[in-house]
Amino acid sequence: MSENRNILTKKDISSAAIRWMLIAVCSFNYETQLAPAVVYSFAKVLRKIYPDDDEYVAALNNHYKYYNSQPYLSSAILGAALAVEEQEGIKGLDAVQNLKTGLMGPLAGIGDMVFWVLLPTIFGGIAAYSALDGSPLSVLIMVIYAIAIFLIRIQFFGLGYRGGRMIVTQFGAELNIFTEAASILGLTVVGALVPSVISVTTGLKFTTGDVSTELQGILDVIMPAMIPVALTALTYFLIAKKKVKMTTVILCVLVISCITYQLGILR
Amino acid sequence: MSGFQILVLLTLTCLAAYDTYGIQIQFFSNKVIIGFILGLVFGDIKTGLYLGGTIQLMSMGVVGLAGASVPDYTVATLVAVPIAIKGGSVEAGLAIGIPVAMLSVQFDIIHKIANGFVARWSQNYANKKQFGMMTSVIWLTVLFQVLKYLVPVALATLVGVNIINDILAMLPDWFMGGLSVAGKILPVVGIAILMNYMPTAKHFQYLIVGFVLFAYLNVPMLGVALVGVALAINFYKNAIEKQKANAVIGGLEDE
Repeated sequence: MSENRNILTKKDISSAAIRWMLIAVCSFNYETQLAPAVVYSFAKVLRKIYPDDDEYVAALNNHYKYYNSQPYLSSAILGAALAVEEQEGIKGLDAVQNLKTGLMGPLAGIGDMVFWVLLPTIFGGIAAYSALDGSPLSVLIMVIYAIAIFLIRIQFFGLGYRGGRMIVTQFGAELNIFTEAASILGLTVVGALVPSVISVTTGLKFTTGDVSTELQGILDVIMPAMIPVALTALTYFLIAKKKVKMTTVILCVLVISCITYQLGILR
Repeated sequence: MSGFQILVLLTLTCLAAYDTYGIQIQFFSNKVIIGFILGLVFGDIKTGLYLGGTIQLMSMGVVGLAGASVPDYTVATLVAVPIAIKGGSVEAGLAIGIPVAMLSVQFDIIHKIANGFVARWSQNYANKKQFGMMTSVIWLTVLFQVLKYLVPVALATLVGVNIINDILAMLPDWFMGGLSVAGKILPVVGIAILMNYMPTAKHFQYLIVGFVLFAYLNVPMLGVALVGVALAINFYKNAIEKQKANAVIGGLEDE
């Protein structure tokens, strides 16, 4: 794979970028988060990369896996993933997956801070204060802000795509090793993901005489996020080793959640 | 409310819903913009802007990061402005808008659970090679998002406010509480599937590194990722050197 493959046109890239914006967070689900929106974004371009039905299905299934990041910066991640997919084809599926997983955590951190907290606070704040005075300036500020956001979002996808092509050219022959290295970054992020996105705690209390002790306090002393870790280990065991179907696991979680909430075990 | 006013209110509700989770240009979902447009249509721009600004300030910092469900102040604005202008007081608008925002937390959890079923439905179509249906059903998630806004706004402004409280009272506590616990646990399924597809058993130690950094040392996600990058570079260099060394040994053996 020494020469760049040029399957996708500029128009294809733009279409994938816009298709990402059409669904985005609307598709957020607890199990795979933004994966359906990724599939929607990639459906057309992947078909072009994989004319063969079976390869296309395999590539699609790769993108039905857990993905979540800040939606604006996701454009850049998806652009890069698409570039790798275009160059490597079906043998690059792991590389694509690892790239997405490695980038989504850190870019979510930056993106959430800048695009969900910082900018809305600054611009929303200015607009809100001038709105309290009944000034139409507030409307003008938000119009300009919205146009800027839209333009930035379109740019991010192309930026990621060009970056992704660079990765492939640069690492070329060593892509296997690069993929494994990317998976190390990915696993480090997943390790941090467990205590950050699974926020369930126990409400159990022990009463000995007059003193009541909260179990969560004891667990926190032993190890932080102990319940999330235990749940992750159990679910991983069920899905990876016991081959339990995802639907079964989800239904169990729903039933167990209602029961343990009623009994005051989990909250 | 005139027919035109209702039309504008409901259209703006759909646009605001789509802007919140869909195209996300932070325009139609912006409380000041909603206040302005509804103020214009209902005949009191000043009150509209004032309410929009007030709710915007209330909502500052209330962000549903990482898929968390938070009170939706955009819905609150859509409900509060017409009621405030029709009822003649800003307080009346806020008194009804805010409970509706709280109710949207439950709607959001239900929306995200329903999306899980859509995701699997779509994937089934992919496996059956019905690619048209595969992408079409994903639009259901957009429909849910729009309904999540349209139903409470229509109920509160057209039917009456009491119905919102009746709905809240009707749902049993074990169900509502159970849903919120499920919302906190369910990401575990996605993470487990991800781990299943990564070389988790081979590189287990890096999970521990990430966990310790975040859970014990409170390193932000970017910091964790930077350590991850360092570890990845280290692995890459070692692996390349090993490959070269093997090549040299291989070369010697050839002689």
